[in-house]
Amino acid sequence: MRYRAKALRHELAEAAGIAEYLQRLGVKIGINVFIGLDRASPTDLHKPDFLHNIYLDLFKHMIEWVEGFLEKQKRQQAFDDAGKEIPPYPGFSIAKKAYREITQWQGKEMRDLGRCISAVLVSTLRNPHSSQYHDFKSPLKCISALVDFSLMAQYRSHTPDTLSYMESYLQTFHRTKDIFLKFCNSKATRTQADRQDWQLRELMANQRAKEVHHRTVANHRRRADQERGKRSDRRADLIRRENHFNFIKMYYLTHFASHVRRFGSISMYSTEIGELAHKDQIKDGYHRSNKNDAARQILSQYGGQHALEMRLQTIEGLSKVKGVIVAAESGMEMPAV
Amino acid sequence: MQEILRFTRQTAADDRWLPADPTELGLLPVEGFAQLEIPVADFQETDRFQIHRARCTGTKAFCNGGPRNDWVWVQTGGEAKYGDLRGRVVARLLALFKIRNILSEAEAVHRLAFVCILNLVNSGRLHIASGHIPLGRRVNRRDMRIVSIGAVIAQAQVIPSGERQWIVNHRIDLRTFNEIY
Repeated sequence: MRYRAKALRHELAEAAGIAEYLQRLGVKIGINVFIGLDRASPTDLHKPDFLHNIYLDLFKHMIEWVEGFLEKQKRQQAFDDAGKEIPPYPGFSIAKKAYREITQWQGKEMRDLGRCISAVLVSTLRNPHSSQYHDFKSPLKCISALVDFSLMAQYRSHTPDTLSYMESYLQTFHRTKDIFLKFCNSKATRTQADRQDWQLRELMANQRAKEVHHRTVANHRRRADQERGKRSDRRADLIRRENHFNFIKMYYLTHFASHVRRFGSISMYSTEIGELAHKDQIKDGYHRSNKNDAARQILSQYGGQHALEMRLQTIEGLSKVKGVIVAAESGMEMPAV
Repeated sequence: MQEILRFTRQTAADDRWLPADPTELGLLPVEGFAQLEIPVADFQETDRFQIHRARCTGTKAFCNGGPRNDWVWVQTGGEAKYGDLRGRVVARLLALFKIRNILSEAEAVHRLAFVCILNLVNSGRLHIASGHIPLGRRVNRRDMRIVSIGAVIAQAQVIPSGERQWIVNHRIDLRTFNEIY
């Protein structure tokens, strides 16, 4: 830490000022819309979001890690079979395909996956050999901790106890996540590994071409096996070296508890509600329009629908008030005689 | 019939709704149902309820598929019982029926559920390594019971884990997650 602070001071001294230093790091400095707003802190404007932070990002990573782990343990089929045997439950949609066959995940599917993955994984990793027992324990703990954290974060009201539970689940997750490190490949790492593999293959082919003496088929096969093993080792080394969990959404989880302490429940700020409203507010209107100048028709359709709903609510409210009779056909209210 | 008799015997003498005599019991009209609507209070919302529709088609097909007999939570004891399950057990609905006691003056109607209760493997405590509660099924038929539908408190989700073994998925919703830990 001290070393990092020293390095930072050195870098700052080298740069003409803080602006240049930040520019060198790739931070764009300019005037934005929040500058002129009183009592608005741009750092507080970003809110934790279940849909994009947990369901569509962390859970997506999680399923990739789990798939990699199951592939290594040769239990993918058991996972698919356990997934197919999930019984129905209210508000829970069962995936019609096996998990490996799903190519694109929606937020709702990811949420449902989070609700059942730990139990499905326990069922998948049942009856381990004595050598596998320790290997199976960590992933279960890690996945359960992440799911528990996400569930606890969805509480509408919190106590100091629930917040401390949230923090302890997060700590457990960070403590046990290393078991998935080898399966946490970023796209850049995969590309780099493929490039390295291709270069090695070229190099080995060139070396083979330079050797003039004849080989038997058995020798040729043995050498090919050796080369394949070498390539695979190099690839594993690179992936081990390059893999990491340092991405922004993983880091952002540490702010969830403090956010609840400062601003209240996280569910209030979730974009899930806004995205769900797209269906009523935009998509339905678009389907009912003639697709020609659709924006105007969407607005008019939703405006009309909204006004009608408000009217119905008013009638319902008035019908409960004593002394007011609601005329059945017109919807007009009149005082009781 | 035996289960109904047992159910009748289990109820206290004052609350005995049904006749204890098997021949009398056999005369009572019974009507079967395929769905039980269970109102379940929303988590952290006292005035809102979710309706859990537990299906029980017996051996009949459900929606052109196989038979559907849902899993439910049955409250059978106080909170101190069954470890982390807090007095509840997981059971599979086998039949839902209404029995009218025409032999009594009041002609009282009783709504009952025939269930198969899963056995607790680890006294209902969470398995430390997996963090889930394992359940099993007895080989004998002593796990079949008749309970009042009032004892069925919510739908449950259990995931098969090998031969005659299941795991309670307590992370299925916030209410269950909050109650079982």
